[in-house]
Amino acid sequence: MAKWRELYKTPSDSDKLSVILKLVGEACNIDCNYCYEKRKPKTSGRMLEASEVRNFLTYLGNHPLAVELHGGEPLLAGRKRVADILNVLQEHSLPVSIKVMTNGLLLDDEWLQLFSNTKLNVQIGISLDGDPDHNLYRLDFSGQTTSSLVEHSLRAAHQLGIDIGVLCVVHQRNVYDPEGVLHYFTKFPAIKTVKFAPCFDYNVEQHPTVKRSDSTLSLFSLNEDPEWSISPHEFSIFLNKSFDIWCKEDFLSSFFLEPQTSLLRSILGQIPADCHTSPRKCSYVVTLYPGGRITSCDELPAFLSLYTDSINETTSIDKALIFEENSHLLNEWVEQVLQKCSNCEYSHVCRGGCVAARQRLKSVGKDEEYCQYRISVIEHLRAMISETTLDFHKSRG
Amino acid sequence: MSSRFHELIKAISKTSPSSEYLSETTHTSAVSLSEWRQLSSIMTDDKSATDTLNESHDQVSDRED
Repeated sequence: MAKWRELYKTPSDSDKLSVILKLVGEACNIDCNYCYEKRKPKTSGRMLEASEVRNFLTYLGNHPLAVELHGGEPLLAGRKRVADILNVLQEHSLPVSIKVMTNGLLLDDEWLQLFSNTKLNVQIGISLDGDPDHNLYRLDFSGQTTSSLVEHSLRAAHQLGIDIGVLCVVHQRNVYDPEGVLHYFTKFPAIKTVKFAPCFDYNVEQHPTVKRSDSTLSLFSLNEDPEWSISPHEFSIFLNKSFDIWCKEDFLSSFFLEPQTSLLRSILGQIPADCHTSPRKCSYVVTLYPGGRITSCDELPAFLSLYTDSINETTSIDKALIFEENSHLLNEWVEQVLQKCSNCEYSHVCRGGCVAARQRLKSVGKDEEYCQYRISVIEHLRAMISETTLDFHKSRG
Repeated sequence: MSSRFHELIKAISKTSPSSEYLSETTHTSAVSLSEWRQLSSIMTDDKSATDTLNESHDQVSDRED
């Protein structure tokens, strides 16, 4: 078996799958400049029905599931619809864990109680890029900032004793201020994890069928990358500095950082949860859109990720996932990206990163810079582990 | 260097990721809460154990004094 294959496994019949339910397609109540869903062709505008989710579960067969309620903004589906879908998920015969990823604007006490009262123990993630200045790419449709509503939700979660994971997109407004970003998050005791996701938005285009605000369109310059985009090198500096601050200021007592915690696991010889640092990548991901379209991870280009346009047209998800059906293109594409890892001494720790991001960077000649970012962070963490272990032994005499 | 970081390294070394969280996509930060709960719990238990040991040690030392 080629070495890169060890970095990209395909699931067996009983492996856990990561399932993304696009409850409302790409519909959202805010208009983030960098939103990747809104760059794609417009979808039906429908919402997922509980009956569609029930059919989907039958289609998925005997896999335990890690379900993510996603969008657009999933809370736009409304409490009744979401409660019905949670009830259907609860009926699945195999274990199901549920996460919801929301922009936090609608997350009031009723939503928080709905999620915390269900037997499935829904875990909540909120998107927030730092303080109100860092967060200025996340605007509503009238161009107003959204931070104050999100802050209100974080305080409400704390009052109810509910833990929150924050997804912080790293872009030009926050990449040079890791200290400010971390200090801001410590103001909210509900936050227990902060996951940094980079905006490597090279070579991206806005699809003409989706209406975007003038402010967003103005950030797409002709023949240039969008204003918010950062390079892998910038991201590595951000991650290393944020990690140093996290240790030095003892923010570790407040929240964990990702992807650093996953990379620490990997350095220590374990296989983490994060798909970038695990061999369980796109072929473990199944996304359901309203209307029955099923794809792999939605970070992938649409032409590569499509399993089927209609849930009724494909008889076996297992065949799709192991590339026997529509996804042979994806298989070839993944091989092109990961072949390079076969000769890399860091591959057993890095485990290839994100193939979708790597392909985008490869198309603009930045694939080596992506590898250097991963190596830089791994080396930084290794040095910290060595230093800490040395300090510990010195302190013990 | 932060002693908490050393505790984290020890806590990670004590765990093996369960299938419960062997599947997090890039889209969500929520499931890392499982990670936080697991590791924080180990770190707290370790600290309690260390504190207890130190207290016992102090008591012994007091008696010896």
